[in-house]
Amino acid sequence: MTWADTLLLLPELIAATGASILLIVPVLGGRARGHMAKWAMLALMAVTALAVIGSTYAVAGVQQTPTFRAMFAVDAFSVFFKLLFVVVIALVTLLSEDFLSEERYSTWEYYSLLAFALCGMMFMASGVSLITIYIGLELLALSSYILAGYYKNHEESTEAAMKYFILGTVSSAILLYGISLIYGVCGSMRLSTIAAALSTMLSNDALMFGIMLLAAGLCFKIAAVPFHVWTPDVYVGAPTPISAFLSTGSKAAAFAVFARVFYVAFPAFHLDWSNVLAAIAALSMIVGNLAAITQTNVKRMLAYSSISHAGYSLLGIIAMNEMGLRGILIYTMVYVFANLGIWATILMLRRHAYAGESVEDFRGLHKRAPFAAFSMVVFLLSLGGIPPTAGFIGKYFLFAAAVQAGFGWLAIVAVVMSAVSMFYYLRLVVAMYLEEGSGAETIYSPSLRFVTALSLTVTLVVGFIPELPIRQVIESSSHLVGRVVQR
Amino acid sequence: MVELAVFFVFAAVAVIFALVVILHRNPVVSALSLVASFFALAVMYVLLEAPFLAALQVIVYAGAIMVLFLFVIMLLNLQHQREETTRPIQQALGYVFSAAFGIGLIFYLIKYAWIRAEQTTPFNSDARAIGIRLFEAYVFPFEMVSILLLAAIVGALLLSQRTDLRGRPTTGVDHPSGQNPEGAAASPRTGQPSFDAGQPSPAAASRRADPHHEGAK
Amino acid sequence: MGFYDSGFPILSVITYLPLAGALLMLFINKENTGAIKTFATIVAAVDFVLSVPLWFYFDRKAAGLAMFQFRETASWIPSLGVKYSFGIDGIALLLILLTTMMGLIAVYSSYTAIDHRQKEYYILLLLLQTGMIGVFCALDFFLFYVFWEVMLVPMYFLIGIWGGQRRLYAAIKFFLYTLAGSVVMLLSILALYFFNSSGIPFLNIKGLGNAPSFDVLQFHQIGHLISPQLQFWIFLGFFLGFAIKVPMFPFHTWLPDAHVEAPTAGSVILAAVLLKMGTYGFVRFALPILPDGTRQLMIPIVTLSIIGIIYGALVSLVQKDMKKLVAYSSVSHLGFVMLGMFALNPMGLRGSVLQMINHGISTGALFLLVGIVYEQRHTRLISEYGGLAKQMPMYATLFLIAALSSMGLPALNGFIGEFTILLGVANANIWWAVFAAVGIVLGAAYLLWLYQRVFWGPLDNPANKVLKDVNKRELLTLLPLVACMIWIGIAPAPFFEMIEQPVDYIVQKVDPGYFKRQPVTYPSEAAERAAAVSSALAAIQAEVHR
Repeated sequence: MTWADTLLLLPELIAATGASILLIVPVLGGRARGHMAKWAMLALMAVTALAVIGSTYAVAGVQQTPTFRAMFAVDAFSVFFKLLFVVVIALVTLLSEDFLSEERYSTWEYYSLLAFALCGMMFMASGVSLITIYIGLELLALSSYILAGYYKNHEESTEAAMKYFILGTVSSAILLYGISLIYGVCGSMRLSTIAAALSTMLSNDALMFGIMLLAAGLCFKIAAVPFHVWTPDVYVGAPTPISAFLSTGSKAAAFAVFARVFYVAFPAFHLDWSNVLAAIAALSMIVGNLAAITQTNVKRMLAYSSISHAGYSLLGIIAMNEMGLRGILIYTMVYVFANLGIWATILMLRRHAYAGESVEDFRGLHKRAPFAAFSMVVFLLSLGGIPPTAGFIGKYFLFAAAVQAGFGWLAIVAVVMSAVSMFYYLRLVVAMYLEEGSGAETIYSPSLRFVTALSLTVTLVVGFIPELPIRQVIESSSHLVGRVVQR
Repeated sequence: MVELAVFFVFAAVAVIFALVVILHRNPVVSALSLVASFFALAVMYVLLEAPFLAALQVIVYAGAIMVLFLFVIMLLNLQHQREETTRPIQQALGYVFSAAFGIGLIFYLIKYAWIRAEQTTPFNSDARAIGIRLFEAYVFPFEMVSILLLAAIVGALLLSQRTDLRGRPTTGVDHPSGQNPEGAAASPRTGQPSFDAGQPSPAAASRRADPHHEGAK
Repeated sequence: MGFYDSGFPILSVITYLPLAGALLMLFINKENTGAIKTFATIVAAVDFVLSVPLWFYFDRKAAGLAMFQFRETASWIPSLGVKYSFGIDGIALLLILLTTMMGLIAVYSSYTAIDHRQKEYYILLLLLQTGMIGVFCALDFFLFYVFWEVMLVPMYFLIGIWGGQRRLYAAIKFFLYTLAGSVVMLLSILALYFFNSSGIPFLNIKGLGNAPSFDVLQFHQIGHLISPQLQFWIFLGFFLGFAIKVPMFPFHTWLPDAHVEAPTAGSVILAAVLLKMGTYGFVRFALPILPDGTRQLMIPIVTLSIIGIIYGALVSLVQKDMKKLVAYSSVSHLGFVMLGMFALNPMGLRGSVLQMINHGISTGALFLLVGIVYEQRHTRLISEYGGLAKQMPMYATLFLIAALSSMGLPALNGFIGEFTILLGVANANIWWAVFAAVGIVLGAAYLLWLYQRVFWGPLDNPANKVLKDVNKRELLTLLPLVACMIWIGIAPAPFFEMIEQPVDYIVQKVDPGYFKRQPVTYPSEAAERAAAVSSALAAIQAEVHR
């Protein structure tokens, strides 16, 4: 370990240090200045983003720089996700402003926990050893449990946090068990070493079992069926900005891990695990979309829709080809921004802690907030995968990957289900544009407006000029795809 | 042969006490059963020729953490409450699926657990070796864990606080408007008796007049 | 006018002009409805005027790939091989002219029919036009798909906001049906894409190893190399996407709902242009790229077409609602188009393509006419009317011409199309032609019966006594359509000339041996024959009606 290695760690170090400073400020007398916390947090995000960008220059020309005994790597893949995470956390910070000023909860600790979560996510993106990945994941999960229960005295929030905590711990245990089995067979937790060990094996039941348990643990994090039951309750119960965070940042991090672990470590056993994951993906798409149709609560609907999106993204893992990995990256990005935009609109409609919930709240929104309504339509179309929004580009990659990999049946399920999904997305459009009436009143703060505008810009720009993001994604993922073993 | 017998006996002990932890209604019994389960796990470590880990297991878990648990339980003086099953079908389904999952898990374990032990270098597990490994090869994850613990402490403090950090009470009625405040006072589903919700001071009551109405105006 | 032959991107201009107009309209105050209407009309009119010279500058004799003219190519997403590629052949040209004309008429006809949220209405109408023209221009599958889906959204809003009683239901049904079809089509496009480039190793499908591309014309060249089984599946995907849009028989249920609930201009656009997307998709993509798939599925499709013709006509007979009647007649007419197409010979295809245009004109006119009385009476029930011929003579005349054109009376456009289709179909299989002829008879029956119930008889409903005849604006929307009906009816030769090369090209692709087996028939000859017959029959027809 040298100083240069530490420089590579700079983003994580800054996030962790920043989180600690945010904790100390109130003790030093910053308690009364709760509104300063937002700016401090945004500044921290800006510095972290600069550090992430700086770390790319440190590894310019090098494909992958594993440090700390090959446990941590700064590569284009991790940088892509880290930047995405920083942006997500910054946007969630903006989303949280109203919630924090309206409720009576301490702001500094809240942001501190968000920064800890960011730190965990960045470790997940950079981890090239199962142990670093696991600890990063736990750091994220722990912060999320607490944030989900931040409405301490609301029964729903507490229940959500408890449910999330208990199921999350069980899934972590399963994940850990899987890791231990893999370690037992391969003798290492480094992804590259595991891959090398796997390539010499024909088949190994214990290892397959380990891979399956690992996949099950990760499927919990991305909320894929049958590990999805926590999702609706948590999204509804948790404070709305935290639901936004769980459905975007937390999932994106889990997908970063999913992609790296499966693309780097397990390509040799692709034939063995792909069918199981294909079943999970198909179930997620079917159950998620069909369940979403019957929901009248928007948050619940979004929860089920996010389950189905986990199913779509899994296509990229199952396909195990260049297209698939690119698809995961681009779809994650696209999905994150569309979702954040939608959550911003929901927050705008809050009358009290739990508003913006029923579809009726959206009635006649086009009159009260034309810009928000228009953006909402674009976001919903993006989630539905209708061109020329970004969602189409994302889905294009995933569907193409599935077709190319020969999972035609899965691609058919995916396209049919994405058509079905438009049914419930359109319900919101109907409420906003086609039904008159006054739903919930709107409080459209500049922060929310900014989040909406940024998400809208990304969604449209990626939709109309996809070349640039695609190029970026190719660059960010090519070094992982090189390892794919064609069997 | 003896080893195998010892293994099965203590494995059974560990599993049975683990079940008692989650099934028994008295928290003290649960906590004590957890201690017993941890002891059984310690025996496993001994069987694996890792006496140092066994000692750590006993000292840290059975000794320190469990005693803390017991203290907390005694201090809180929790009464256990019977919970009404709200949706029996769901509960039944829950039992069925967990049973199925459990059986499946056991089946796979039996099927796959017989891994032929490969000849490896002898497992060196004295305190010195572990220390060196921990601070050389695994120093990075080790430091990561410290961040994790920091976050955990923050979380524990936040969740256990009875007043928020602005010095105002946050316990008691703090419920989304439109709902019956009485319903929230004694929250039966979380199993937590509310200590100060029953007799709030007039000042506190006026302060916590639902804040959401302000937001709605 | 050097624009049209000097590499100027005229197609892009025509495509995006409505979009630009829609964006500019955002800046007009929404209270100022007069300005909004005028501006929208000007934009649509300029678009139409710009598109007309295409007709004159188009080289009808160009054969093979050269028949795709006014080409524009630029790179769009190079990493996927997606190009921004525009170009039209005779078929697309006719459809674009139809689109710009109907677009102008739709805008102009909405002046009084739309009384709330006008600004959004005209913006959406213009957006829709961009989408429609883009579909006909695109020569890159990706681009095509984008335009194809883009159309859905404005149409959804047009039906959903300005529609009738059950507009929400109709709008969602329209959207989901079409979307379901098109996403399956996307998979077929992907399969073609991979066949052209890297292949699908898992299914042992070897790719051709070309650079990744969505170029439709390139697919035209390589399509026949695909194994018949794979062609079958790819064709099935295309079929689903296009057949729902057409709509063919079992997939037609969205159409009556959408038509009945849509505002008049929406119905006009829907009938005149949107339905043609499906048939256009078949002739442009499915047939030339997948000859084996086409032939394997020929019999089922022909069967569905015949069922559609007869079923549509029978259902029309029993309708009580005028608009619904016209909607079901569309199912029947598009059955004709599909039948002619799948005769897979030049004559059938020519008739099929011409019938697409005819149907757009005639049915568009019928919807406009129904809209005129609906606007005054707010009912479309046939039983509410009767004896209108006395009250509204001009209206009755125009309706008669449109109805006759729709049922295929000689001297009007419908006859030329149906006659040519029947010739082609009879060439392929005489029994198909027999069934199709039954459809024609039924078509005459429901339209004449409709006409009788609405226009003849006593004028006994007092509400009808105050009906005003067509005004100048309505007349202006209808006259161009009537003129086209008569033009195509008596002088179809220029139209046939326009589609001759594309049709031969498609037949050559689908059935490479066709022109070796058959002596080349000159289309204009058949058309002239048909025209002669039609003018002869015109005299008889005039006699009958007197």
